[in-house]
Amino acid sequence: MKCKKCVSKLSLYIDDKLPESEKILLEKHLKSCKECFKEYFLLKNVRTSLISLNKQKAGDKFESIIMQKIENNLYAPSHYSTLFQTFKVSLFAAAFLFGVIATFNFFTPSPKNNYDKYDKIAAIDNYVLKGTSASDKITSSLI
Amino acid sequence: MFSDIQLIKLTKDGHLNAFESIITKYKDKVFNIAFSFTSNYSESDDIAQNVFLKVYSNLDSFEEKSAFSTWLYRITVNECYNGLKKRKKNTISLETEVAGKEDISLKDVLADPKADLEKNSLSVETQNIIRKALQELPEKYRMIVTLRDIEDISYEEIAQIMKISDAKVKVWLFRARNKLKEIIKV
Repeated sequence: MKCKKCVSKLSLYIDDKLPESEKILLEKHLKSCKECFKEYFLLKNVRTSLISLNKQKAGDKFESIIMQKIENNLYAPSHYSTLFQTFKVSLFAAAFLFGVIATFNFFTPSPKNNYDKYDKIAAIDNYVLKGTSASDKITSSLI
Repeated sequence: MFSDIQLIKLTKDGHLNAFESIITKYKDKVFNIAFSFTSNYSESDDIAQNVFLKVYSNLDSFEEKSAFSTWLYRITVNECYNGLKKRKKNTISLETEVAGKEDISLKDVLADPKADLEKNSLSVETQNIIRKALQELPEKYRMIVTLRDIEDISYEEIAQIMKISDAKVKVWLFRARNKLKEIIKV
């Protein structure tokens, strides 16, 4: 095992997370390499120091402070989450309905329109009216 | 003795005493995680209070897919990060309550790994140096070291709490410990 690989495995070794075969190789390397052993020792020390830190405790009145806040109705249980849940369900239902309608419209053939016909009539009107004056137009419409 | 799930069901049924039992069971763990992350008593107290109030108001969203403790610690981790954001936002640098000499060599600071942990108690000064070094770690590394080395939580549970892969837990832990080692060494 090379030093670089050994150092990269030290953290797992300390936590006893290495497979047995790798563990044997690493231990063999540690016995023969002073530098790597030093690294192992320092890393192990760091972990031991962290474990040895005094546990900090919450205050004696911690529970009563929280229970007081809860009893004062500052934090209603699940009220907001229920509301949010209802909102989510409604939103989902609306989206689903919209999807169904959109799909239905997409696949339904649209009714045939008479736009072409109207365009032709408009073109003829335009052609006829082009040469006539406004008074003629009124007269012809009256006739 | 009720299980966590039983206590949650009782709480949902309106028995507030059951929730008080949950607080009593977990308050020190939650507080200790917050303190390891912030090194500040009043901040840790705020975080721990917020955690339990959030747990109470979101009990319905706990789906029992994971252990209650995992869910609780995930909320704790999120609250620690939120607390940090608030602190940054306020721009007033809150002095950590940790103080100590900075020019102490590694061997003076670290515990003897062969020593009996039960009997071993680090001096206040040494504890302060370790905690100060912890504060210099990037937040994700500080959190992973806190969960693994201070709270002795398994790799698998850490992955669930921090929502990262098992492989990432290993990598982050390796980097965090090495970084911590380098910080203390200087």
